[in-house]
Amino acid sequence: MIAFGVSVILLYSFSFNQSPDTFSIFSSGLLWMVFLFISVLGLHRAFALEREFDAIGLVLSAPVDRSYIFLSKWLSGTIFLLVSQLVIVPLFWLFLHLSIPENLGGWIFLFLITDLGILAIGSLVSGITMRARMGEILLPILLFPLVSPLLIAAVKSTDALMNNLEFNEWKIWMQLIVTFVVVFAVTGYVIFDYVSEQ
Amino acid sequence: MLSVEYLRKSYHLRPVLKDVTFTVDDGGTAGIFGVNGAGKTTLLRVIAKMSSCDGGDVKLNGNSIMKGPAAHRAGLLYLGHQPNLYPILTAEENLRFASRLYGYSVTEKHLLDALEKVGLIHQRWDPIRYYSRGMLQRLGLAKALVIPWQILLMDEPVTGLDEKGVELLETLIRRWQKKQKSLIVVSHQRSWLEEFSSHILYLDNGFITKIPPHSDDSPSDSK
Repeated sequence: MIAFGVSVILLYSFSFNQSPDTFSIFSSGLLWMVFLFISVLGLHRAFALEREFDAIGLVLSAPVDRSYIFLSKWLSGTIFLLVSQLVIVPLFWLFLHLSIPENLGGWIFLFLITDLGILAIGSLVSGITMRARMGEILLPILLFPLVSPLLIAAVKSTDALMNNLEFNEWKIWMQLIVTFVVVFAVTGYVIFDYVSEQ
Repeated sequence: MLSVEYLRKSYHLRPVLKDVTFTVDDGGTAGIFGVNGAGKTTLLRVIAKMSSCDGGDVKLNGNSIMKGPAAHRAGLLYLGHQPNLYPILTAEENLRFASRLYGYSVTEKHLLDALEKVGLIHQRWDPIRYYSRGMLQRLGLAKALVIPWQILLMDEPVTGLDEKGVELLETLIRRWQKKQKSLIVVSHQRSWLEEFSSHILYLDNGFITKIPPHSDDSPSDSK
């Protein structure tokens, strides 16, 4: 995931020959596009181990609440994505000659909450497509429309952070992100028992 | 006691199980046989709640497995066609993980005894993706030795086993029966099932029928 993200950042640095002021206008969108692709890479692997030897059968037949499977995939995926972002984002700033923002805490919080949203949706969709015949193709087809509003909100929030806007001016986007996290986390927790059965 | 009550299951509108009903008393062994595609594997997977059902219920000691919480499955262990284990983990790691899923912390001695018994003691550090089919079947038996269970579901347990492996399986079945544990065994070979089953069930066209043992009027071994 990290290798892919770094490769894309390098491509960006060679492709775009804009001044930092001009580039900062669309850098948020480019950044979240990288994160979307690396999260799809991660989600493809989310249930890969369970597909081999039908290992998921062990967990499904055990006296364990299946919602915990969703929780574990959700939280572990979020951690992997967050760690990848902590490596990729400084390189993004460095290679594209962007200034390091002052409100790093706000950035980290934004990444964390958005990652929770992406992985809540992604873990649920991964669970649904785990046993599907063309699951690897179905995953991005189902995932992208569902995460699009979340990513739009993340891009807008990132823009606001880069421009040091007052929180009141962009809190609506943060509210949208939090709503997505809550809705999909609860939905995933509640229905994973049903989607995991054949 | 396990009771299967009017279980129904369809795949793409094609009924596979039609009001399947039977019970397995404590200490009993039900042998299920039928032709290929009869739904034997589906039946076991539905009982283990790995596949959903369209209707009916399965109760273990009066507790519903279909509608109740996960804890109702505590006494049930499923050994299927697939190993249901993680290929990147070793035999030891898989058995430890599996026993912890069942709320049991297996001791090192117990683990090694189980692996010794099934003949995998020297391969216990290898990731199981390198195991042969027969070795995976033996590992499944080791799983049944380390995890405490009340009823064991076995789907074609002799597949891939050599002669010694089949002897081991039969020895273990008799040992479990002496301890009053319940078994449901699926096989194509009715004659093999009749050697140790307390009752034989024939699954055909979605319906299950109890067959008197060693009856000449009953369906013979499936090919």
